[in-house]
Amino acid sequence: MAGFIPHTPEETSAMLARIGLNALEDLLSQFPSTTPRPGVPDLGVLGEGMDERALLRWFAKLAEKNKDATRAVVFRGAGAYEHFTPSATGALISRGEFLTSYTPYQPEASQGLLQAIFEFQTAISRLYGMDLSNASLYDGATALAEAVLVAIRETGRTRILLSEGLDPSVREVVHTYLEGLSIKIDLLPLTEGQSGPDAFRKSVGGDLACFVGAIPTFFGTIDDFSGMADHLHENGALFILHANPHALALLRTPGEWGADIATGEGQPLGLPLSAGGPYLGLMTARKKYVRRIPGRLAGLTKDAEGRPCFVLTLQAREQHIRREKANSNICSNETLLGIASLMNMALLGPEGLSRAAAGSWSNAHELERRLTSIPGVRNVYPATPFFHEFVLEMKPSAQSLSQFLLERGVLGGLPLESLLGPAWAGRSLWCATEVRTEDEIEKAVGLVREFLGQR
Amino acid sequence: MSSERRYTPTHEWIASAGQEGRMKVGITDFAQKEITDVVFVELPKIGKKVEKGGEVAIIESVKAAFSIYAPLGGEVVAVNEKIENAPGLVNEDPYGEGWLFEIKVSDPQLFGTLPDEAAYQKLIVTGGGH
Amino acid sequence: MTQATSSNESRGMAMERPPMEPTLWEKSRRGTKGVYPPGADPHLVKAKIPESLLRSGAPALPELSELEVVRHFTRISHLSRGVDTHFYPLGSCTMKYNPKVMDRITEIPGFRDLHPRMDAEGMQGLLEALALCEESLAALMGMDAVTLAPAAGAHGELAGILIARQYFAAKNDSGRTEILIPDSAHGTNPASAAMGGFSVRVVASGSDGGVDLASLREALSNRTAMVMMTVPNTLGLFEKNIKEMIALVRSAGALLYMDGANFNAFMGVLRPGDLGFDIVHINTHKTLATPHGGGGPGSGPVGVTRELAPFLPSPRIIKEGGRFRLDNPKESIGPLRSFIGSSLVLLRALGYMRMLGREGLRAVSLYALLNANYLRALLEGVLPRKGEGLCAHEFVLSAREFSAMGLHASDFAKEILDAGYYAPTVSFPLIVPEALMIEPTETESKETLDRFARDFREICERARQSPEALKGAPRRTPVSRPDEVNAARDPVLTDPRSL
Repeated sequence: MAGFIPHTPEETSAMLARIGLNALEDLLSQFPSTTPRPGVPDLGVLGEGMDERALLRWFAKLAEKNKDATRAVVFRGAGAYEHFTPSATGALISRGEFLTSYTPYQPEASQGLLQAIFEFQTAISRLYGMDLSNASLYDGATALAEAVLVAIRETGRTRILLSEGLDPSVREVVHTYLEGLSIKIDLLPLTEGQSGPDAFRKSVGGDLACFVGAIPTFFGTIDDFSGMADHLHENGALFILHANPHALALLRTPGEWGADIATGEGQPLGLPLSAGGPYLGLMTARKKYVRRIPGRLAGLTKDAEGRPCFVLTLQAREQHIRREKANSNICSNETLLGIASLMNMALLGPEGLSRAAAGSWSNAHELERRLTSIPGVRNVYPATPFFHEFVLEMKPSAQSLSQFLLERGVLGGLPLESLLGPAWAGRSLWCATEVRTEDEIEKAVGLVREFLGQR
Repeated sequence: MSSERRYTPTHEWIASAGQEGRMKVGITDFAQKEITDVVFVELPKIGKKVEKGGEVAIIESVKAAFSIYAPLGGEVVAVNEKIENAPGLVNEDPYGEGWLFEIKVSDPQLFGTLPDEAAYQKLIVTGGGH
Repeated sequence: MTQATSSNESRGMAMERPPMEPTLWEKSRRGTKGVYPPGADPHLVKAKIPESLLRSGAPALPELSELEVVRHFTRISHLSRGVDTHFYPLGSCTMKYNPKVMDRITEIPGFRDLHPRMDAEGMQGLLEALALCEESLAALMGMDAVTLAPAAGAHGELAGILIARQYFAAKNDSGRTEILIPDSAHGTNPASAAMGGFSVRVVASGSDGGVDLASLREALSNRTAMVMMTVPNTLGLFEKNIKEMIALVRSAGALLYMDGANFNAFMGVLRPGDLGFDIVHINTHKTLATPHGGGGPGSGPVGVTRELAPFLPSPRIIKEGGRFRLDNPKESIGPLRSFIGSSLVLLRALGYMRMLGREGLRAVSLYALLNANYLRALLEGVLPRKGEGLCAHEFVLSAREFSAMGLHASDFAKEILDAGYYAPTVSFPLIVPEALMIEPTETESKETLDRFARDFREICERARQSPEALKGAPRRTPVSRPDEVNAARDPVLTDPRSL
């Protein structure tokens, strides 16, 4: 196989001669000899190579075993959402100047990339109602973990408070990140899908580094954070909100709630479900924290001849300069996904984005209305406003319903028991976004009715 | 004036701030030239206890960060808030407007043990490290 | 700037700066309709949500037509360089060709549109592919088990460091609080160690740029949890004493970590596991040709020995009776991210491995070595090199002799941009003053390397004759020498027009 190596045999010989070697293998004299470790997979597993067509057919065959959104209509969210993506984005983002470039350390050869990052930072900041945004982190969960680390460093305190409304998978990632640092992690329980002000006040004290809330909560409800910012600031703690950017087209922003730092998973900005990644970690902050936050930042400046232009800035915060004293170890991020999300936002504009978010709200509410009209099915938080997800409860196991639906071309609500414990048996988390149609909703509702009728 | 300043091999200067035991700290002209344009100074919190040789502040240039060490032990009693918004003062006037912080020195007697101007100039020539 | 202009004229070059593009907000016109998505009327919805829970106004996003947006991004793309457009000799980044066929893998709906919280039953094809990716990487690394979870190299380092922590905790060996790192290492190594709660001890390089055995011996103690090494090191040199180093670390009871950022030098040739490393990460966006995307996405799979496998991040892919499922083992360090991994990046890496096969992957490294050594030979005597003899996949030159004339490595980089290339890595590794780190990769032709060497030689000659000329570079890029001092003193990070 060629390996995309352009050398002719004559060129290879001439090059070897220039180095003073006879054969390619002579280049290996710098490496020591070793013996294979027993039990390790043999290099034979790599195979003999294949041509493009065979490769694509091989992948297509594997893909057939997956129930993707074209084979099972998605009524599941829980951190990953099927949304509308304008066609133009795919064409633009695959341009080699974006796709095959490196981090823009040479500004003169990277103005387009830097401008796109700067525009991404601007769009995300305005969406979150915050002063600034970085150029991205790995995903929403790691972005939140990094935000919590900022709060810990900033306050010098060793206790944090996380809302039960945060995605449990996200909470676990925060746990992993804090593993080596002896931090106490407390949980603020929800009541009817919202934070209770009394429980909140009891949990805040002079030892607290930060509180983290979610917009909307993992359970789809819209939490009320009134008065929290002031109370946290009076106690010297930071207020962090973890928000879904799609929902922020309509909902009150982290900035409006008074958050110091806001993070989020950028996938709902029209990025594909991607079987889990790559996703897009968002981090925004108030100006006060500009030198505290991790990750790359593009800034506006002027060049030697006075032209406005862009550079990576505040680099002295980062690992390549501060090493063990850096804000974070992050180097590679998710720039390309950030630019794709920017393209989506630019193509939709404020009106399109609000329209899509309203579509999610209204489809989810229609789905909820129809499903809860089936006898034996109830919304667990009927009195609390929700955005595009809701928790349903019914007698039979949620897992068997999920299986029943999947066999019939529907990815139903996420069974919560395996994620949250036995108290959540029979409960599942449902979602409908703007891309769901009347027919699809009818199909899902009909199947749930059929499943329950069989019992 | 310069005779009242003492220095460290890591290019900080220290001088009396007028009041008993209170001393101002900054970086030397040599250091500011080595650092090039200062873009940010991370100043300590007032009340911070420092040991001689301990890291107190960080000075950032565009492509580097430099630790600033306490010439003598004590407690930070003031910081130069002006340089938070005008870090260029450290370059323009390192011994004046560009001072960094003030320490209430626990043992003022030690001041005399630090290198004086002549000794510091000798250090620069032989090559001290920042 | 007078100087720069006159030098331009003397070289017979007109100013050829392509025009910059206004920002999206500069071009925005209120009321312009963009793409019309499926959805609903926001006003009807807003009437049903309590006002205190709603945002006060629409987000200040730009308002443009679809064509305007397409032109905007197409135009700004012309202001950036990628591997697709320019030779990119950026040391330590392995900017090789990213095969277009892999783009098509990521467009297959079975992967692209697969929900990560799909039941295991509905993702058998994905799990089968990822399991094979793990096995293939284990074979290349010579390790027993591999996790695909890390989103980048530094994320892989953090995983490895948390694994080390968990390993010693399980052995009740709580005194190991230090990680040793050579001074030539990437900055991510010490930063990752600190994030994992370890203190960092720096090991000095010897005069040849390799880890100094005596310094290593002195630094090792019963406080040492792990030693992190980059192989070949950041000078592009394979440590001569590697076997002695490994033996030393072993006898101190510490773990050995290999930063595989430079794995392109010996893929299919030498396996880190066979050498004696306990934990290894590689960067798929370097060695396995997944595109860098202007800074990401990357992916940083980590391989470990049998003893460390129980601590790998969750979830793990388990194969039972011909079916795959996900499992969260008790001893695991826990999840590193929300979902399984950067699947679309990993599928590209798997595609690359399947397409090239065992011999093809070995050839990649042989030609990466050939190209680096050929270019090294062509540039001999142009600038002094740090290190002697054969290099691995890259080499480091020093422009120190020009410091006295006020010229820095970065000035050479700007001139190289004007010559029609991306620039080598400058100012790294930190142990070489005025470093220019050059990595050609295997996908560049002899012709490209000959041309680059000729141009580089000319630039150095010009620098000797008239150093001032270099300070005016670059002259053909959209902008020149942005004011980074002001950008950092008074950062403007969002478009003022959006407010």
